[in-house]
Amino acid sequence: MRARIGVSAAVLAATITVAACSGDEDEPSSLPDATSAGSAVTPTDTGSTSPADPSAQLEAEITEFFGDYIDASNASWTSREALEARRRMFVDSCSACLFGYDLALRAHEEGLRFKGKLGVVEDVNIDGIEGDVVRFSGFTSTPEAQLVTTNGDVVEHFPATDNLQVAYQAQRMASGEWVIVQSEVLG
Amino acid sequence: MKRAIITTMIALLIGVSFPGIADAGGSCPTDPFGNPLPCADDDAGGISYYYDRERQAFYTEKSVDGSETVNGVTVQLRYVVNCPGNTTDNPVGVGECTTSPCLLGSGEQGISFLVYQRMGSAPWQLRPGLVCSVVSDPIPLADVEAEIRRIIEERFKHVAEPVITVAPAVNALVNLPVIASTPNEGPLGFEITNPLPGRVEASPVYSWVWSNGTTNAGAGVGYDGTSPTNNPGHYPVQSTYASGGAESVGLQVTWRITLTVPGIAPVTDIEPLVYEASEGFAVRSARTVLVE
Repeated sequence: MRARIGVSAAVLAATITVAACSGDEDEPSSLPDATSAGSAVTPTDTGSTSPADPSAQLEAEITEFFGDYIDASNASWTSREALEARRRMFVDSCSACLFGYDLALRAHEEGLRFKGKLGVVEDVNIDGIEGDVVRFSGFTSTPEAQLVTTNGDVVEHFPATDNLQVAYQAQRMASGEWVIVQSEVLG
Repeated sequence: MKRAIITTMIALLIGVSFPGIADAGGSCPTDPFGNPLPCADDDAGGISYYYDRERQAFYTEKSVDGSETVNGVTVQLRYVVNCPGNTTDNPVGVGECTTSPCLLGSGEQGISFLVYQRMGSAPWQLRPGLVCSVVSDPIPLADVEAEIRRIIEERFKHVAEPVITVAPAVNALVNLPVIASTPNEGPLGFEITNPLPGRVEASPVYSWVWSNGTTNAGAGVGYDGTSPTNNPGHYPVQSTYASGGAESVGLQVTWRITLTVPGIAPVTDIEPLVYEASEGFAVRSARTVLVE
C-alpha cells in the first residue's frame, strides 16, 4: 500500500476555515463518523493524527466516500441498485465517471457480463481544499478484465492498472453528500 | 506525457487547469471505472496535427476540457479549435483551415480556440472572444521532407539512382530508332514516424531528353523483339538520329509526394524529389557498321 502523505498546513488551514463556518445552513454542523469503506483503505489508517483533527476527519470522510464510489462501481456491473447509487455519486462534468457508468448501464441493457477481478482502492490522499470542493488523489489497482456478451465475445477490454493515480475534485452538496465533479488520470 | 506537457503549456498560457479527460470514451482503453488509459497502439500518441500551408509547418493540437470554480460553483469549459465544422462534440476535426492560426504576443504561431462553458449537463454556451495559444513547437515541412528523402535514398537506392537501358546497346544506326527505358519503380509507399507519424505515397514522372533534342515521357519499354520500325508506338521512349556520332539520352525522374497524417487532409506541397541519369551511345551509319 502506498505510504500516506501528511495533510499540508494549507489544507489544514482551509479545513479549519470550513469547520469554523459550520454554522452555515449549506454545510452540515458536524462531519459524519468515519466508517470502513469496505475496500483496501480504511479511515483508521491515519497515522499519529489526532481523531479530533478536522483534517483527519475530512480525509476519513473523503476516503469513505471514495471507497463507497469504488464499491458501488464494482457492484454496478451486476446490481441495478448499485448502478443507481454510482450515478448519484458524480455529476455530468466528470466525463470519465460518466463513461464508466455508461459502460455498466450498457452491461445491464445488453446483458453483458463483467469477466475478471474487481478493482481495489490502494490509497486516498487529500491534495487541497477550495471552498466546498476537495481535491484528492485516489489510487486504484484493477486486474485485467473484460466485458463480454453471453456468447463470450469481448466488447470492452480493461487493461490491468497498478496504483493508477487519478486526481478527483469532489464537492459537498447542500444535502451534505459528496459528488465527484472532475477527474484526471495522473498515471 | 506529451499530452500532459501540451495541456500544461496551454494551462499556463490561459490560466486555467485542464483535467485532460477529453479522450474518455474514445478508442483508447479505460479502466472499469471509466478512467482513460494510454493508447497502446496509437502512433500519434493521442496527438492530433494541424498543417499550416502558408508557414509550411505542422503543429500539434489537442482537445482540452477544463473547469473553473468560482465561489464554489464549478463551470465546465471546452476549448474548440476555431475552424469551420468544429463543434463542442468534435472540437479538433480540423485538417487544413485558415481560421485557426493566430499570432501570439511574441509573434509566434498559435492556434485560436473558441471557449464554451456550461454547468452540469446544460447546453454549451460560447464565451465572447478567442483564446490564442501555443500548443507545440512547429515541425517544419523541411524536416519532414528531409526524412522522406533519407528513407528513399537509403531504402530505395534504385529510385535515387535510376538506371537507363539503351537499345541497341552498341551500333545504333543512323535513321533507325534508338529506344531507351528504365525500370518503372512507382508508385511506392512507406510509413514514417519521425518527426511525425504519417504515410508517404510517391509517384514518379519520367522525362527524357535525347541529345538531338527529342523529348519523351514515361518509363519506356525495353526491347522485347518487337520491331520499333514496324510498331513505332510500342516503344514510347525512342529517337532517330539523322547522322552518326557520340550521342546521349538524359532521364529525369520527378517523384511527386503526398503525405497523409492521421486526422488531417493529405499534404501535397512537399518539394518533389528529382533524380537524374544519362547514358551515352554511338550512332553509326549502316555502311560503316557493315565495313567494320
